Amino acid sequence: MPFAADAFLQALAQAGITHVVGLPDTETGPVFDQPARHGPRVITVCREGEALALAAGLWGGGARPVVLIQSTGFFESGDSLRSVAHEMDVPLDLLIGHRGHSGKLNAGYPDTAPLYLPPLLQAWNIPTVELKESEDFEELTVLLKEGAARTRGVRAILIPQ
Amino acid sequence: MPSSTHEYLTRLAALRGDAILVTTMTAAKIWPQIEDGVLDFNYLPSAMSHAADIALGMALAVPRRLVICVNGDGSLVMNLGGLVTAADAGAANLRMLVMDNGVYEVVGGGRIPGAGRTDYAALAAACGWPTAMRFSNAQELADGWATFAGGPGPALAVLTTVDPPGTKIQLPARHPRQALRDLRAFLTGERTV
Repeated sequence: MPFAADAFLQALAQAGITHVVGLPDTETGPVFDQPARHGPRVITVCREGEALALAAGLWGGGARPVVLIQSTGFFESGDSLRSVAHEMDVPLDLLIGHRGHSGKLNAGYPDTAPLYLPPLLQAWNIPTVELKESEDFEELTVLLKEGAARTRGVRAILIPQ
Repeated sequence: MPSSTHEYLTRLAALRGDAILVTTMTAAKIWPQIEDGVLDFNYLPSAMSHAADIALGMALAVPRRLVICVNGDGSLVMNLGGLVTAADAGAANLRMLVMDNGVYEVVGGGRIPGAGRTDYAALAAACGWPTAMRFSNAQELADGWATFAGGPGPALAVLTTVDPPGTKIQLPARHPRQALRDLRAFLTGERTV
């Protein structure tokens, strides 16, 4: 069953999100397939480190973006994460596909991604919450609405995969 | 004779109009000596290459206003994919000036890979930037400004740059964290962020 991209974008729109910046992954790829849909504008980058800095620029310009990347892209993003999360202190939600967490993706194939994501988030001092299901969009809207009140700091919302 | 970063930026101050200006590396330590207004964002957390990403984000958030990124050649080569991203996003109001001196000036002058060989304007054009130009000195920049700023975007111009030894650089008075908040507050009409 493909990821419900329209419902996902609608959930973001309900929370006041203006832009989604990121890269397609195994699960969330359909979000990036039809960027002309209603709701938040979807911007596809070439590498995940771009996404965080681009989102910081969007925020500086008055927008309210989120970043949508997979855990492997989070691993790639350290340089811009330090700059955006800690130097700029931009209020930003990172929606991170928690690859391998559910055991369903590539079942039986050893994957180091779920091993390293939680300790790395902790090392970066990033508050983290995890959706119960990858398409728990009601909960996602609630979390993002709560996040609208934040004026500082990056937070991770994990999407189990 | 190529111009220095200071000469280019002094000329840029007279050309920019109400554009948002994003500087990084050496330029970010010279621009605040010339201007430091609410539309200026001097990006200095030593996260090389990301000033261009930030400028792209601002351009997409504020399409009615030009956003000029004063980038370095070293920063550009760290994130060539950003040229693809900007073209793909259709950032028509983004302008990038690449200070091309062939070295990592801010860390003491080590050579940049491809220095003297890589054609950044050709790279931008190949990525889909409709305007890609080269200027050898500040007068050429001024003479070509109308085409650069007023033509189709995103637009990139390579500025051949030679900085004399002992060029005065200093950190901006405002921390980038505050400058980004000041910019957002100005653009959104918020009193404080």
